[in-house]
Amino acid sequence: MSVAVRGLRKIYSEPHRNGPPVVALGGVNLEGHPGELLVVVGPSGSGKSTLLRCIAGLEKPDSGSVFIASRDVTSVRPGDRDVAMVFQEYALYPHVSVSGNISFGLRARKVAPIEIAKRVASTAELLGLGDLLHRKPPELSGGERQRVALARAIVRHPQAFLLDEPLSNLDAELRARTRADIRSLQRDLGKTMIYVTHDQVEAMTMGDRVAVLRSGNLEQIGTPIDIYDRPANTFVGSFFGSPPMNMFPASISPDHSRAATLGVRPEDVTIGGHDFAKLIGEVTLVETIGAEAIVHVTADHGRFLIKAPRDAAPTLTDRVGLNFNNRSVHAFDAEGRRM
Amino acid sequence: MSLRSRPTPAFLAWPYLVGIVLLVVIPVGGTLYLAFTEYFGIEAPTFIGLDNFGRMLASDRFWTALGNSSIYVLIAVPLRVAGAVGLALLLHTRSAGSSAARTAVFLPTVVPDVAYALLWLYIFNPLFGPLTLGLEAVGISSPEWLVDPATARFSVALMSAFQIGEGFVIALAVRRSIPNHLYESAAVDGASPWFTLSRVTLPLMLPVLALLALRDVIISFQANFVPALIVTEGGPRLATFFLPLYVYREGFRYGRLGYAAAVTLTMFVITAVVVVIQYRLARRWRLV
Repeated sequence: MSVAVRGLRKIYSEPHRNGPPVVALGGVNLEGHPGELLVVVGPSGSGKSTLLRCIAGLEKPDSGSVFIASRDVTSVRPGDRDVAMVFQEYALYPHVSVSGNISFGLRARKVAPIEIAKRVASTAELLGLGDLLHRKPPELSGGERQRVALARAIVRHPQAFLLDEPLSNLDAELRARTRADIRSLQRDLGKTMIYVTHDQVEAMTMGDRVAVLRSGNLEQIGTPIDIYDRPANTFVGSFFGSPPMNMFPASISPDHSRAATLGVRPEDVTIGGHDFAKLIGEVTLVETIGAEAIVHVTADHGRFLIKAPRDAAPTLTDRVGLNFNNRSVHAFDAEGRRM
Repeated sequence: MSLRSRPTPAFLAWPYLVGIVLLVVIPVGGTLYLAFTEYFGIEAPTFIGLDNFGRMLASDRFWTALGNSSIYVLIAVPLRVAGAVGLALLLHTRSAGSSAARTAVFLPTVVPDVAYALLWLYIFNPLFGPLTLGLEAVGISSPEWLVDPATARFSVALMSAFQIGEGFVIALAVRRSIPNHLYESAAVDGASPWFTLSRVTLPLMLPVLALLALRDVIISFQANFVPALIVTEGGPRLATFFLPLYVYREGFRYGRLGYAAAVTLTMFVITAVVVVIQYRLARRWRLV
């Protein structure tokens, strides 16, 4: 079942008393296709959580509509939208056992007790929570709580899942593992999932498609490869990739009248001699990360970060030439849009 | 150079400790001693062992007062706790008028007891009291609040149900400490307001409600003295003749200070026993 928003606008009028109104969503159009994992990514304050809360019905948009399975649910109560949500803080009831937490939504909907027991057992089995059913949330680790929150969403068999930064409270190792678990779980369930995160790695590794939000506006939507290889603007270009894309000013028309920005990814730049080099600069820092090194080079056009094999990395204060293939250069116009 | 020694906590506490000793420890000690004496306030007290307690157990008035006080506690405590929690749940959000309403809830608690009692004497007036007139205006025949023994005890409990400012503030703070995402999660899960109240809000507030109830039992055994003295004078037909009024009459009207001390001590023991039972139950139900 698809999840879509059309022209969604949300303005917070009084964020800090007497402050100016804040546009959280400036007319967003977006559709998560049936069975798709759509990642909504953006920096903090980009409106991604507000978008998710509008879809869930926890926020009322100022204008625009929300569709779930092609039904306009804009004025439908959250409980009647048939979506399940996983919160960043997990929102587990601390006084209720794991089993009680998982079954909460079913009990609220007066599902028959036999059916509840069956579904709780199978969901707990699916997420490896079988031994924890009688524990209470304060007795669980962060990863276990996260799984309980997922189980509570899955057990209801909703049309779609909404996940709001579900991994942000986990440590790095567990985050990587859970990322893969959620991805395969979503594939098995075959349900639409809207996944909000600020982490570009989660966006790139998990999403069938990625929607990039900034200041309440949709900057680009596409497959992770699309977004990486053909960023729609300088913001998207520098948001994805670690280290971010190197940007430098240039003029691109024969008479130098059109100002532009060129971007080149750190892995697309090679370090070599001065002959035939496109740019020449001084090495100011070399960060070694295992087999790779990130080389910081200050050139006339600004600072460049270059990914190089550790053995090929130059030493500090060397003057080096930088080269890159013209096809790997991204060109953006004066407004930062891709040309 | 060494740092100047700072005053220790014990040193800082001494003004408070002096107050406790003068105002609590010495009177309690005095009561404890006088309870075993015959003392009319003129001659020195004479030790009479357990005679005061024997007389007390044989006194119809004592049993009437104890019965009245127990009924009062059974009515007033649930009324007060339910009132404090109910109002806290209604008024915890920041909406238009809610802060004025919160102030209004607290206000009766800071009105001096005697003024408050006189105000209720007016409210309960069977001829021109606003409560009577209000009920009659909507076609309900008003009970004779303070005249009928059956309603008089309830009327005094009703008076106390509006002096709940402290319990209200505590309940308000507890309600506000429950994270909002629990409610959002319940809403997305399709929980009705009643389901959310009974499965989320009240269970999470319960430990504090149990403590509020404990505290209210202690207060309610004593707090009916002013209304019983000023509004009903223990009547009609001893319906509001509570233990504190009994102590007051015996000690200060009839001058039987030793006997009054024995009743006070008994009141203290009864309160302590009730509180211990409540606490044990709360512990068994894992509420505190």
